Amino acid sequence: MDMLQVEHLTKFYTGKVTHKALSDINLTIEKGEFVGIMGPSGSGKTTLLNMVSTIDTPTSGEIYINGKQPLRLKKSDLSIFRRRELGFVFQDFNLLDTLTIAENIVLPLTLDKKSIREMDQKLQEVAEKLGITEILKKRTYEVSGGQKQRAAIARAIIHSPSLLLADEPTGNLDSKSARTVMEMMESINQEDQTTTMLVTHDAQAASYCHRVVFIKDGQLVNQIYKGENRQTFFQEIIDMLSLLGGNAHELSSIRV
Amino acid sequence: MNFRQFALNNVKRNARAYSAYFLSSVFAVMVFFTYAVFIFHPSLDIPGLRKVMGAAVGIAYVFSFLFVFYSISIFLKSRNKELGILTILGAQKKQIRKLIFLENILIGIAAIVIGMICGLACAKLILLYGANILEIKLPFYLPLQAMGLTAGAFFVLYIVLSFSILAFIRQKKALELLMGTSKPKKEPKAHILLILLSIGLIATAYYFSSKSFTYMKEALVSGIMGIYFFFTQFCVFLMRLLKRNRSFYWRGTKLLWVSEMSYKLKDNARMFFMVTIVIIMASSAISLVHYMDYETKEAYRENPFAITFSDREGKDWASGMKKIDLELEKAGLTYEKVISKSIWIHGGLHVIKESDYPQLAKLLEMKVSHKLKSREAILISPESKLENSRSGQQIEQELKEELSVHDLQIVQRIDKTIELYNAFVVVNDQTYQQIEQKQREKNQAQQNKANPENISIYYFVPDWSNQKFPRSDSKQAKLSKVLEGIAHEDGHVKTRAVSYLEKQKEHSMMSFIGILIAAIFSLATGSFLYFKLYSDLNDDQRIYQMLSRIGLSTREMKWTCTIQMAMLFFIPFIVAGLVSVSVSVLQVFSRSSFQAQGMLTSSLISITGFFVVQLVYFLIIRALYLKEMNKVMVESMH
Repeated sequence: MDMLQVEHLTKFYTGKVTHKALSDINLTIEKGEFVGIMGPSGSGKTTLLNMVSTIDTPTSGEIYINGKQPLRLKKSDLSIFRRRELGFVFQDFNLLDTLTIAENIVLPLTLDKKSIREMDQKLQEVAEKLGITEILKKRTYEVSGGQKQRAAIARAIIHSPSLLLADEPTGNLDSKSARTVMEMMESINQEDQTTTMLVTHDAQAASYCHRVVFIKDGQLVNQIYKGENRQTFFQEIIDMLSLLGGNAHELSSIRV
Repeated sequence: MNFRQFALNNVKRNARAYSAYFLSSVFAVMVFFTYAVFIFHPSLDIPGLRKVMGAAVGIAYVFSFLFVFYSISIFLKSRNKELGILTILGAQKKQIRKLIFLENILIGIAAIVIGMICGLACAKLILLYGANILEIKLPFYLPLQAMGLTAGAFFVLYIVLSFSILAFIRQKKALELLMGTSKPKKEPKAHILLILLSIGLIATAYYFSSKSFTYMKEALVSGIMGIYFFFTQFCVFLMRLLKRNRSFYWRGTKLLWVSEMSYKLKDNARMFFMVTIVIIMASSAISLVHYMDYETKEAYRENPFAITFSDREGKDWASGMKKIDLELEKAGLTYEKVISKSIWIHGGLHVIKESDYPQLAKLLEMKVSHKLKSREAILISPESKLENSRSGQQIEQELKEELSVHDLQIVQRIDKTIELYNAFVVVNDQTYQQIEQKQREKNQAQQNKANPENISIYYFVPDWSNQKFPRSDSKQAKLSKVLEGIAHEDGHVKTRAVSYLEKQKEHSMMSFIGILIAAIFSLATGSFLYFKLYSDLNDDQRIYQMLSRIGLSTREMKWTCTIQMAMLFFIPFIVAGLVSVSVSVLQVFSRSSFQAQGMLTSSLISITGFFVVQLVYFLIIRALYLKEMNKVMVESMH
């Protein structure tokens, strides 16, 4: 079953100079798949992510998420759609300083006015999964960056979204935390069959995906599938990136 | 480009960033200047008024200081990054300090000039309004004195502020400056002892205010301290309680605004405290004016005589009386007069003799009942007044003592007024002479040659009813003024109309000053809040953009922002309102005087007035703020 289906997606930014950000993108992500989107700066990764996360509208083309067409929804229903069907992980965590970690995690459920029992139960579940049970009562300034990102992932998956969207989740983390976070995302994907789309610069992070899609100048140029070994997949990703002609120093250094 | 040019260009080319700070400075100068123009007006050379207005200007200055200080620190906070960049580029601390100092002085001077120009326009309006209320002609003038004061005061203010701000900057490192403002704060905490203290203090204040006016000071001190701890401790505690109740807190947008409010309440506790105290004071001042106004009207209604002429010496009263008669006849007014001799004994008590009494009795429609025996007396004094107020009870007590000194027995009491604040007793002629003799001996013992007997002449003018209040431009008022001006050795003329009008003028002056002070505070709080919101805007936008992405709708955003702003704007009003009303209600119950009810209504009216002004402010600022927030919401990006 296809969880995300992108058909002939095109986006122009019109202004003094018309800029074609995306042209005729076709992409399908199956349920339970973990897909990485990579590409040099300005390739259109973020534009694609914004379209999928319904915060931007395409010039033409269609998007289906879990069989629904968010583009056809009314503006006022879109926030409800995002709240229930999508989960977001950001580069800079975006946790609220005024809330405890636990409160940050349950935020999507409270906005949906779920019962306390349900929230408590789900909170315990995701906290255990991400290994942050100890810090639930702490506040954002009392925990490390890696813990913050894990809390942010917990917030993104607590409502079991159809699609988890991660935008450079390891961008602000040291290599050890980055690895833990990616391992968490991998295990969530495996255990819960959470369909995940990861936008990243980081080949190390991308190597946790089942498949990596490469974009350049607004077009899909290639995709590669993971074989048996993550290490070789990582090497293939690096090779592909240099093949795409992105400058070498634009890629993050190899982290092992 | 030398350094001074750099500082100038910095201000000139970055006008937008400086505009908020600049405008608030202009505003502070303008308000202060307007007041100064008013008090230095040459036609307002009334010592009492000048004193009160001087105090008002003092308050305005303190507020301006706080206001400018506040805006300066917010402004500098927003420029942390810029200062960090300058540091990294190699600017020395000394240079940065010089830059900020120069900028401040530049902005200060510009604000003083422009503030005074705007202030002139405002002053014209205030003078017009003031002239209307005070019934004095207040022509526009060139306020050199006010200009000097304003320029001097604000120049000093900017110099002092610039130096104190430099102390702030010194402490920060380049990295801190670059990281900017977004450092998470610790969760506010309250101390249980202080919470109990706040409850205790407020309870004490209520206890004292229920007792009597003698405990006014105790009630005020404990009340003010209680309110301070209420905002800094008790409110924080309340928010924590709210947070603990998860079925309330973990529902819908409450998770957002309750948590944010618990921080904002603590941040703004001192401002809440100040605003609350000012509102309470203003509303009680207005109730007090209302109460005094009521008393003045009562006094006017009670006084049966339009003109009272009294002569302590009792010698040369006839010529004075003739002058009054002449003036009244000239104006074509009919009148009746009573010439009454009395002995003033003590504490507002006069003795008149029985043979003089029928004349007075006829005018006041009192019955002359029976012949008085020796040492028997009829007391003529309004009852209603004496029993209610505390001072009334005191007078009653003194009266009793005085009567017992002269061994007088009251056989009849008549509820009428002859002279305000004075009680009269009627005794038979023999007793009168005995009292006169006694008083004369007493005077001689004190080397006082004055005649114990004095003459009062009461004029009853049918055309000048005591049920209709005179206007200041009426014929009665004008003639009364002329009559009061009749000079006479040892005697003086008091007219009902002039006493009333003078009191009225005093009251309108007090309310005018009260309204002016209240206006400053209300404007200043609104501006404080605006600044606060403006300085937090970037952080708020970042947070709400993220929330919008994860599914917060615009409607929900509007609701959380509105409820938070409303709390910031109206919590002081609610507290002030509750305090004023509960204190008035307490007085209605404990004293059961109907004047307290009047005070209750007028304090409610004044709080409502404040509320309306603040509501307008709230709506404007809310609209501006929501417009900015709307920009970052996903829904508006489509």
